[in-house]
Amino acid sequence: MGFVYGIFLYKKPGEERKDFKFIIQLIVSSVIVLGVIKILLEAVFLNVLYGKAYLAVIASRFTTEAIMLPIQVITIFLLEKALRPFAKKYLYKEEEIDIDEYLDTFDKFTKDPNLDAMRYIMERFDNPEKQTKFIHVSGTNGKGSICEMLASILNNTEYKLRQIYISTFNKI
Amino acid sequence: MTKLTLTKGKKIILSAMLLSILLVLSRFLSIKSTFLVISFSFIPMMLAGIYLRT
Repeated sequence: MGFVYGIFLYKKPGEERKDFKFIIQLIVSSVIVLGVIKILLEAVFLNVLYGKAYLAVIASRFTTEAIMLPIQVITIFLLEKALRPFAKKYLYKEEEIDIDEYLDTFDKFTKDPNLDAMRYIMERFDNPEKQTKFIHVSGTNGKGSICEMLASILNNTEYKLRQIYISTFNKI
Repeated sequence: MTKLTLTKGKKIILSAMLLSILLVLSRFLSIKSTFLVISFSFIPMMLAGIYLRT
């Protein structure tokens, strides 16, 4: 039983817990524990103990578990919310980590790659990408020379050119 | 930057506390009949799942 709860409910310390997802996790884990483990396993044990009489017991057991399910979900949801500041204060220890280690905790790609974060931050800056024109240069070799050539050409015309250097912190 | 961690000693203490609560709730503060047992022993079990993983 504890194993099932651990799989469904555990979060790493410091990770944010979302209410809706937490309720779903609680319901799923409780249904598995109460429905599968308690009812089925205890039916097996009762069968071993009393022979065929277990069928009569199962019906009453089913109703009690159905009553226990919402009680369990609501109690744990409220209890976890109430205990959260205490857990933060007494249970977890704050540990200093340096910036490289912190950046290593991020993955290079998300599970579902999209531009939501970029759009959000661009909206905060009043969408500067819509006011300027871009030339994209991509490929394997020769990007740098092409860029230099384009820059020298465009610098001799009326276009203003801004060169942006992007430095990465990727380790090789 | 800071990171929250749970030390090993605190893990052991927390699991011991939860286990003692579990025993009290399931053995003494429960309603028992021949087949049916109603108890609140799910509370420490689920809290252990929340804080300590499997």
